[in-house]
Amino acid sequence: MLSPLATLLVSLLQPAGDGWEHVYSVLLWRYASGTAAVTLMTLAWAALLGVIPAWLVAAFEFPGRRALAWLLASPLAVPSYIAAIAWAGLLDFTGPVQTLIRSTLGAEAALMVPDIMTVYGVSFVLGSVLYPYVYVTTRAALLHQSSTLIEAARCLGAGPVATFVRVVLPSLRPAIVGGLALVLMETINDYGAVHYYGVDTFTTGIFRVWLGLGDVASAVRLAAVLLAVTALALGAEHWARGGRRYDEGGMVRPLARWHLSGVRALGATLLCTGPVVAGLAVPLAMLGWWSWQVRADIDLTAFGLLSLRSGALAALAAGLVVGLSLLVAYARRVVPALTPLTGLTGTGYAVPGAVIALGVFAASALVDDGAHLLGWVPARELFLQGTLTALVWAYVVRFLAVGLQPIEAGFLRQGPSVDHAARMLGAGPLRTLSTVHVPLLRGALAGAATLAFVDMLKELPLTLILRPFDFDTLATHTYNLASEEMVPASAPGAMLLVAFGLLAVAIAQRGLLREGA
Amino acid sequence: MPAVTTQGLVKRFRGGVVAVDGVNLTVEPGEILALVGASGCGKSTLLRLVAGLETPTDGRVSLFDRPVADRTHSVPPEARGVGMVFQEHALFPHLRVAANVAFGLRDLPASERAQRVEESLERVGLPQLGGRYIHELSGGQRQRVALARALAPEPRLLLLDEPMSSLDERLRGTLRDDIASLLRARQTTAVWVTHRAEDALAVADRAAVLEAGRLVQLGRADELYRRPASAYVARLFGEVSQVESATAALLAPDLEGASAAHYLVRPESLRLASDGAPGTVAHSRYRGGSWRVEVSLDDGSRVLADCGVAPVTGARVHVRASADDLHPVEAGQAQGGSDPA
Repeated sequence: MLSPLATLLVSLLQPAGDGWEHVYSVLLWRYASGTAAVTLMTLAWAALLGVIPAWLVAAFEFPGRRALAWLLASPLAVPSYIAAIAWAGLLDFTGPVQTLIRSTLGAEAALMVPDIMTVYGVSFVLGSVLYPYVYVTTRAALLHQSSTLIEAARCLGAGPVATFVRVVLPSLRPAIVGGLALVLMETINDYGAVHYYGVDTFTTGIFRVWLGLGDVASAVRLAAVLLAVTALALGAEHWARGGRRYDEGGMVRPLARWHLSGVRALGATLLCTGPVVAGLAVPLAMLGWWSWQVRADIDLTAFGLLSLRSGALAALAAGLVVGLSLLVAYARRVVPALTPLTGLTGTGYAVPGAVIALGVFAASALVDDGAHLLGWVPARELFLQGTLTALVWAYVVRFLAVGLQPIEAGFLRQGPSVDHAARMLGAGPLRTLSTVHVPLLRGALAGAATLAFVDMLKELPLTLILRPFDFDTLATHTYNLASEEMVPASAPGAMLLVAFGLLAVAIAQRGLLREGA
Repeated sequence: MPAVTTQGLVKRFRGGVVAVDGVNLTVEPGEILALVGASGCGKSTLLRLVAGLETPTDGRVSLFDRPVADRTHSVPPEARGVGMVFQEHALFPHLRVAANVAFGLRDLPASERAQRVEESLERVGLPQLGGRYIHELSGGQRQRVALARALAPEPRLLLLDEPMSSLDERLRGTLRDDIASLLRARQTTAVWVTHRAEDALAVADRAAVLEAGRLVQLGRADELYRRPASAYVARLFGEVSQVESATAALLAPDLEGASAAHYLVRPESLRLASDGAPGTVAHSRYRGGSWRVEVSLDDGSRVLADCGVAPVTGARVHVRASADDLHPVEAGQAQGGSDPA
């Protein structure tokens, strides 16, 4: 699991090529400032769109609350590059907004429509599909928040507003920061949206330097810088909440929701509807409209084959992820001393896809060289590089944490006495796993498999780089059509991806609510 | 001027559960009143109604003659000037100990506030811990900080909701006595919810017993122990045997015309003697200093008696009591026989 990253770090020792001078003096700063700008603005949007609705939904009762509580998490189903394409389509010259304004207010007024294909625009779009990470963690924290703290504050003379500022907000800080950390990883990892909008970041830079300029050595150095920045950011997050534990234990009396009425209720409903419109309704509407336009041209056979191929690939990788996660989590349970090592295997999720792609590329080149040397494979024939195996390898490295997390949570729910009982009755570790744990973990395993499946189905940067020649998945097919100015033709595939995403969100939410109850 | 008055107080939750059902209660200033009852009897809800954390369905609450809640209006908790100590401490995990204690002292100038925090922590015996975070404290220390925080604004009335339920037995006793002496030294009125009658006996001036949302007995704690109004009250305060009138007449031949259907009697009021009700020793357990003996009487009832020497299981004995120690209870309140040992 760790070999791709290790290979990357080792290859840093090799001397840089001539290209590095240029990359270092010209591009590095541009990539760094672009990444910083997009990341900071996206975090701001995500915090704004995530925290306020979470608080409203948890603490107040207003029309549509239940449905909105669910819908607010649903933009997670929309891959960022699809949202980016949809928003660009909505606002561009031929899009519905400008067309409508031109026909009613005249061409002059249409010029007032802001250009979304900027660093500001891409931050907004990313924020509108990534805010659910903050929303979900904040809401979960609010569900677990004991109302006793709030009652204690009020008995000590603090009114409702003072209580929110002095007690509720500080106690939510770890949840908000945790959600923002996920947003940060996703933003740094993003390739499709920023590339489509022509914004330069580290991720697009790695692609350009590697595939455009063919300068692998410089790409590796960029990847190392990006990796260092990510590690720093996550370290800061860990440090920010590391000092204090916020669980006080004891009974939890859930928040009693205040009933809002009149203007306030309407305001709450609108505030919670806004993020859903931006992150889900706009992309869905645009995709629907485009799909309708091209309905006659859809080649069902080709489309079905493509979906089948993508699905099979994602299912295979998801199966591997779940199997490996199960083994890793169980090893950690049986031999606690392994914890630090197994912890490392889950860090792939924090590593940007472009970096993993480079690592797998480099590591598989090594394997091929070895195979050539040993004479297993004829020279010039590639054994690993550019094959589906390498792609699946990269998927597993990147998404292992997606499977590991729910499975570990499932293991934690089973007390150690379960193992002890099985062992005392004569079952060895493997029989205990297969006859006791696996049946008990059925729900967690299914959940992990679905989440991993959907994540890999919509994965873009890894697939773009590592896929075998002429091999397309739904995600690359959609993205390539859109970047070749055939946006409407890409819509049906995008719709399918969003549909699968909604399925994953539904499963994840069910788990969240069960834990919250 | 009573510290707390409730008149016809009713709390009905959504879903129809009546937690508090027409309670009339007066708490005198400076006294410690224990609210006792089995779990789910409504004692915590009654406390929360006084605090302002719940609004009454019906009835009235006044604090020091100031009406604070009725069917339509309720003064919010932050405007009642009442201190509260919660069962689960409810300390703010994001604040240090000193900031927790200072939370209710917003109106004081900074220097005075710091001094008050220091005094409060000193009073509960934790003068050095102001800089700690909550998770760095032990359970007993947390409870002391919670007490210091509630008392720092110097409320005239302190409400305690099972404040020691998360502590172990040894800690519980010392902390209970510390809290009580602190309250008495400052003449703070306190309403103390507990399901352990032992606590009420140890610290309270008076105890109020709630059963299914109703106030069933109010009086000095030792009175409740010796003269319980019902089997429910009697059992809250310790082991007790319940016998029918015919058995009672056998236990205490001098009992004047056994008029009530049932009688309650404490184990320490029953002794093994040469006359009285005949029976067989069914079981006994040593409780340090004496044995508690379960005697199976010949008429089929069972009683608990204390005995200074080790009884032999199966031995034939007689059980005696004096008429004063048999408390009549109405037939309707009788449920089941004696608590089996």
